Amino acid sequence: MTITALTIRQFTKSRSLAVIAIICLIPLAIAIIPHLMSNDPSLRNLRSTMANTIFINLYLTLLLPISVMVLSSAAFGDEIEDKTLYLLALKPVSRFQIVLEKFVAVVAMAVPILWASILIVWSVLSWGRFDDMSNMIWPMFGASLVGILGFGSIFLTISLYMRRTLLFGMFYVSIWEGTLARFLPGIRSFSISHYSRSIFSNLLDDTRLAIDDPATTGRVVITIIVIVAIALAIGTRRLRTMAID
Amino acid sequence: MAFGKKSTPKETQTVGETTTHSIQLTEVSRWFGDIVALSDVSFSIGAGVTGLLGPNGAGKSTALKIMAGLLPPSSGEALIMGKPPRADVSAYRQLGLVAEHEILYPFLSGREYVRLNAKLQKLPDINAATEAAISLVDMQDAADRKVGGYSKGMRQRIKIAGALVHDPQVILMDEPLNGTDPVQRAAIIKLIRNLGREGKTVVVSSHVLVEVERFAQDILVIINGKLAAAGDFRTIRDRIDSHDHEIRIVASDARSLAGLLFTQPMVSGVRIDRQGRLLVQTTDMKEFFRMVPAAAQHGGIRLYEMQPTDDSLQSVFSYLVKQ
Repeated sequence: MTITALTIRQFTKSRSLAVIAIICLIPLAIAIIPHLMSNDPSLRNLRSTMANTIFINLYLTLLLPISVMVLSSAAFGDEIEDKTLYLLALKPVSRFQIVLEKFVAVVAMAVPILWASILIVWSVLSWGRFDDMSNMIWPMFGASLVGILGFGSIFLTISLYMRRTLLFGMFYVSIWEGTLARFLPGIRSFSISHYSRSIFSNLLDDTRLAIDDPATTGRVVITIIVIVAIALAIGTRRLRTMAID
Repeated sequence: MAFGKKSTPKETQTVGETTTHSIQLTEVSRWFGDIVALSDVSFSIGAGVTGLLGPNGAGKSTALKIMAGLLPPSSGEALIMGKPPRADVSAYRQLGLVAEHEILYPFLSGREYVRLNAKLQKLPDINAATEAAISLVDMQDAADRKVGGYSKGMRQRIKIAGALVHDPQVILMDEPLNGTDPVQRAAIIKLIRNLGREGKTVVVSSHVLVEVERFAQDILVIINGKLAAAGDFRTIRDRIDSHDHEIRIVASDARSLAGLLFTQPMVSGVRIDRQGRLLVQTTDMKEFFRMVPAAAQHGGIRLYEMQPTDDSLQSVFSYLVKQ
């Protein structure tokens, strides 16, 4: 895991990590609102705010894809920009191993940042009602993990094909994931956010917070494994054939 | 050895120790859009130090990157120790590249950088290999400093240590003397010579002819993406010396000196430019330089300056291209 360790060290030295951490704390502002509006906000209001407003609409639709996209595009993008990819490419290390280790680094970095952010926002929103809100934590962790795996593998591979990954990613996140996949049922099968929402809905098992037409947990797991496998295979092929200039 | 012959698809130039060919390029071409960077280049390189020469933009770096497997050729094949590195990454156990551009992580120390190379090479004794490579470039004292704070010369040396940590048989160096001071330069040249003597195949790219002369027995000259010359350095140099040279002379009486020089057998042409300087074409530069002071003294003419106008690498290459 030499390349993973190296990539994580690169992330910790880059400014993008601080940007992601700050972005991920934006929901804090929303988490405070119910407490400001009422001394004793209703549990239903709190759970709905956490599940729909904060987690599904903010995290899964916007913050998670953007955070993962920044990390994924930096994993190879920074190496290409700094010409340090030479160093990895000129070693007797299979191209698949390089792509896999980069992917592991993205996941290893994104998971603690996003989970910590979710936990902090949840803590603020659930202040005084922790017991009633605690069953939301693991579904949120599970759903965000699905999103990190799916988006991480796709954006990592895309970063090997184009320099302007962030531009493409913003378009993809806002148009495809944020708009089309939410309102056009046929596109949901090709939406990472939909699978994340499905896992959240399935694990939470709260009819009042259930989403429309969720994918089964088994289908989500298989689909995400297939997406990761295909994305990494394409990334490996790309790394094998691309000019490292 | 062939001199002044452009490579043809079926012709492979060979340089270095020819019992084994560590590097083989066969009919390699590479183009970027409309620009042809390399055109049907074929050569084999054996043990010893080979200088890869050419003006800036001639295709040297492209050739090195294709040898290293960093760039796929548009057509043709590149082999390192008989293996295509792009298809078989095990070839990299035998290959070290010192790239011209920075390939250092600024947040690593010199020791960490070399160690990283050793780990990625999966060496059995990483610590021993790291320390040996650092000693080789005499960087023990600065090894624990971050490479981001290194001078250009120190970065070059630590890059060399990283490229040599696994004791490769084939070493490619792209302008390794760039940014080094005279002491560092002498040390790197000595290291390159030693690697050649140990039987390694070392290819050093440079655009400075006099530098290459100090460490390379054989050279490959690439001009406009074509292999213009390949073989023993001194033979090629002698052949270059036999073509017409132009010498610029500034003297107290250019017209009288022109009259004296015009009668000399090694002088093929004389003219005076707008600044009143004498431009003389000669077929034998050494003899010409011996003759002129004597002729000037005989005519009572004072010489202020006498300098070849075409001794730059570019002009030498231009001559090669014309052949």
